[in-house]
Amino acid sequence: MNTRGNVTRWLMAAPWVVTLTLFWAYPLGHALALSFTRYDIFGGSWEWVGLANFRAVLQSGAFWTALWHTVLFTAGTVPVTTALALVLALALNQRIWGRALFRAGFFAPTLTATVVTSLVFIHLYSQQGYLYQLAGWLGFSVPPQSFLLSESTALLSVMLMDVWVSIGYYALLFLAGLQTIPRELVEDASLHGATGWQQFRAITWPYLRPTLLYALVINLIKSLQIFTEIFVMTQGGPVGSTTTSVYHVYTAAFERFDLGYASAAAYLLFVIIAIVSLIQFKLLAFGRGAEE
Amino acid sequence: MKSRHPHVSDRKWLLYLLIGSAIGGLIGGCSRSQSDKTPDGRTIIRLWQFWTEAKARAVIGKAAGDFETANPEYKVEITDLTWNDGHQKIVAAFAGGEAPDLLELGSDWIAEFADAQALMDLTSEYMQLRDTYAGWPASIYQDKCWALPWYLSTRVLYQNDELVSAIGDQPGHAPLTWDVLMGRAKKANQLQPKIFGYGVNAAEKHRLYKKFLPYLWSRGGSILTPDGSHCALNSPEGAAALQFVVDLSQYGLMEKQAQLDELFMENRLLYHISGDWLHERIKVSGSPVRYSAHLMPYPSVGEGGQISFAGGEYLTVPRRARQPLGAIKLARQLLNEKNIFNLCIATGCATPSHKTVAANPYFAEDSVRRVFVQQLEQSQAPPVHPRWVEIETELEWGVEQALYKKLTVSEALEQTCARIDKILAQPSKK
Repeated sequence: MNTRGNVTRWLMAAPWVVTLTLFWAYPLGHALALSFTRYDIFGGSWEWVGLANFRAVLQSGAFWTALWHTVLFTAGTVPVTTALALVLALALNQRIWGRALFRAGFFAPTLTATVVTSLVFIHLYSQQGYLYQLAGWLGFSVPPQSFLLSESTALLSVMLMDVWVSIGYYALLFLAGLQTIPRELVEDASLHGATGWQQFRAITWPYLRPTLLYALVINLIKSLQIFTEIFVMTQGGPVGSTTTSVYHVYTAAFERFDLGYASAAAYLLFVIIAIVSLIQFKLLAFGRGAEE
Repeated sequence: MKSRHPHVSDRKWLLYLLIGSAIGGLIGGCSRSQSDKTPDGRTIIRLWQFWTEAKARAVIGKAAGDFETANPEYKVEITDLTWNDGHQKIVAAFAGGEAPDLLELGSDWIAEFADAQALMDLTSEYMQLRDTYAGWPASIYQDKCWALPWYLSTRVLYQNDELVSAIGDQPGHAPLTWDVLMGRAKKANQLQPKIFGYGVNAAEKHRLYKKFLPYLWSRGGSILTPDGSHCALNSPEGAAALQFVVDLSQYGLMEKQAQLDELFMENRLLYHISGDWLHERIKVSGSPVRYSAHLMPYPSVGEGGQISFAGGEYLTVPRRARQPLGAIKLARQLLNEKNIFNLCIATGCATPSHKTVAANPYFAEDSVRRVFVQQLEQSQAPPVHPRWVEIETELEWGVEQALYKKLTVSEALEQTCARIDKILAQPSKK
């Protein structure tokens, strides 16, 4: 292509390239550089410390505790959200009365700002809150204080809220996946006497697999990066029982202003998320060829 | 070859123009381009402040308007901050080389910013204003004054007088000692399952320490050694104070501040340490709760003090301020008696920094506000230390560990002191 054509192409791509460089590549590079330094935020000066920040993170009990809480959160929310969203999508894919209304209703929590939802749930989980009262009324053992202030229920409460908020979004994804299944295939299977479970295994599941993989990866990454709910609802407490990895990074960066440590912790988290996502891709992609 | 469509070439240039504008806007937006002048030539003074409530904002807006009328060469631009993330925003702004001309700071942050050489020395202003305003100790760091006290704050003991009657005591009568407080809390806790003797703050940053320090100080303990080099919490006084708070929590409920305030308004909490906002909230909500406010109790008869936590909001001038003289002029305008009291009347604040507060009928004729003014006189500010925010985090960690019985009182104090000593051993942030 001639020079003018090249210029045109570059100009067309420029807004994206500039945005990517300024707001993505530069901060990433800057954070990586910071992770090897002791940075004075007020003076702007820095001192090269090599791998000292990474060593400090790996030797910090708080980092591993936060990571453990994150793993618990992810392990507790991702499978439950995915399973419930799938069931919901299958139900909403049927010809039922008020289907559009149900779809909109289940999706509504996703449209609400997380901060708003979190504030509402702080109240619902408190002593005076509806969920606290309901749990007591149903005979569940409730802590003397709010669910969010009890060490044994705080993380679980945040997890439950996350599941409630997320189900609608993933159900919508699955619903979109279900719409791609050719109707004649399902009708043909029915005519040949296939049961609902056989249809699900032989038709729905293979067609839904790419959507499922996408949903799992997205949900996993989102869960490993859980922050807003923790920041608003518990601030990592009580006694650190809800401190997650990103919240740990946040407190290091913006409460202690230890940007070197925070950057190193953030990069380690990035590596962990990348490895887990890769494993997930491998596991879910396995056997796809045979089915196709 | 000519274009088949006569306007294609024009459109292409229009596209180039749009793309160029977008890139230019993006780069321009990222660069520092704030102007110091308005189009009509007035000098802009940037004020960053935390009063976001509509009524308070209106009073500040009016004070700024009056300032502009009296000083037509200036235009005041107000930026709102929130207590949730204001500290981070200010640090980020300083780190980015950006600073307002006049900045409101919480008392806990003054030493940190002064130590980082981010603030202007206001000692000369202090010399002129020290007899008119209270609350100076929190603004003095390394023998220099870095901030002007605007609004002060303290905590008092709120008592539900209906519940006091229910347990057979006389309403309006304060618990003068810790024993009386504990006894009443225990009795109230036994009244009904949903009535609690005492409200305990937990798992809420920047609040818990304000509820523990009154007991520590009243018992004669301190957070740091007099030279500020070591933690002094692990003392008999510290242990007695923390043990009392842990024991008292058995007869109370651990909750967040907002929920405790609500429980108090619902007649479900006998005692609750809270600030002036609760008095205002009760009035505005029309809650039927019958209550009184009291000074903190003594540890025992003839022993210790009735000391509470003192904090406040201060006006500072950043070192990088572009209009320091205008900023000081504006600070004086905001600090004048009329404006300072108007803001208090609008928001229900009970402790303005102006020393005439005790004589002002708005404060003197209200029994609860009067207690706040009295309590402030017997209150103490946390150590003016550049690493206070980190020390505070560790202090809250220790109190929480003891409250949740993760550690014994002595273990909690010992480990908290070890963590605080580690912070104190670190070099200055500057």
